Amino acid sequence: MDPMKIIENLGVRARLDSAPSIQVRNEVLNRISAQSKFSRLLPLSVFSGATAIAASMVLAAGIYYWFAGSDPMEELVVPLQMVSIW
Amino acid sequence: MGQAAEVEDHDRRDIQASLNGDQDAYGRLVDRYQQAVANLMWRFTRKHDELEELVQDVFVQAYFSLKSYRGEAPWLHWLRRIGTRIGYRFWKARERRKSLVQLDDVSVYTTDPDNLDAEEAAEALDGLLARLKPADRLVLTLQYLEQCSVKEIAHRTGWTIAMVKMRAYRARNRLRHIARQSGLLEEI
Repeated sequence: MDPMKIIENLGVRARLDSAPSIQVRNEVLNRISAQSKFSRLLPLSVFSGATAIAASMVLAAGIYYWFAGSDPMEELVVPLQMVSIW
Repeated sequence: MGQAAEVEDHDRRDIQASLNGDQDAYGRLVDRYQQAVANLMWRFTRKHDELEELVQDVFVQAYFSLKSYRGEAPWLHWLRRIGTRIGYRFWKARERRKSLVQLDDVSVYTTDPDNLDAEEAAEALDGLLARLKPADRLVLTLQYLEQCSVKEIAHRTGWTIAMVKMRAYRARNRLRHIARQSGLLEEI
């Protein structure tokens, strides 16, 4: 006998086999609530994190350049460096 | 007005309310369709705890995709489409760590098919189809257990009709090969 015929016959009987009775309403609603909260919080936390990182980078760069740069007024009080050309 | 149209109106109202954030309305939809979805997901697992989780996955995914439901076909058709894809992903994930049913266990059932009840037949068929790759198994499961046409299988899986036909053909050949190689089903 062709195995596919046997599979078909098994299929006919197996179709009558129905799933056990289940109740998932509460679990589904709980999971939806949890995921909704998470998806509402996620963009906010990602945005806050990115903002904090960007702000700290700007602050670090600002501090570095503050101490690295010279006072623009200093040029007025420093004696002129004369270079002898003859 | 026919019963089908009445039920559809029912669903339409609850879907709209769910989109507006009414969780009770979605709860009513779950109550209405959980057993139909469970019957489909029962084709993908024979374990009660896994069944419950799969059914939950279907309804959770359906909720978050609800905006994309256009209401052109009954909601159950849409749920079945989601269920088929979730079941397929479940098989693919399990394939890596699957422990196959021994063929001897299956042959206990198949050597005396006339005395099989529905549950035993389903167990035997599940044991046989579990030896196929998930895509092959899905095509034959939808064809023989869900009685889907090629077009319906294509719709549920997102594959083309040509691809479904080719997969069904290959799956049948593989199953024949497995059955002959193992000597299973010869005595019937």
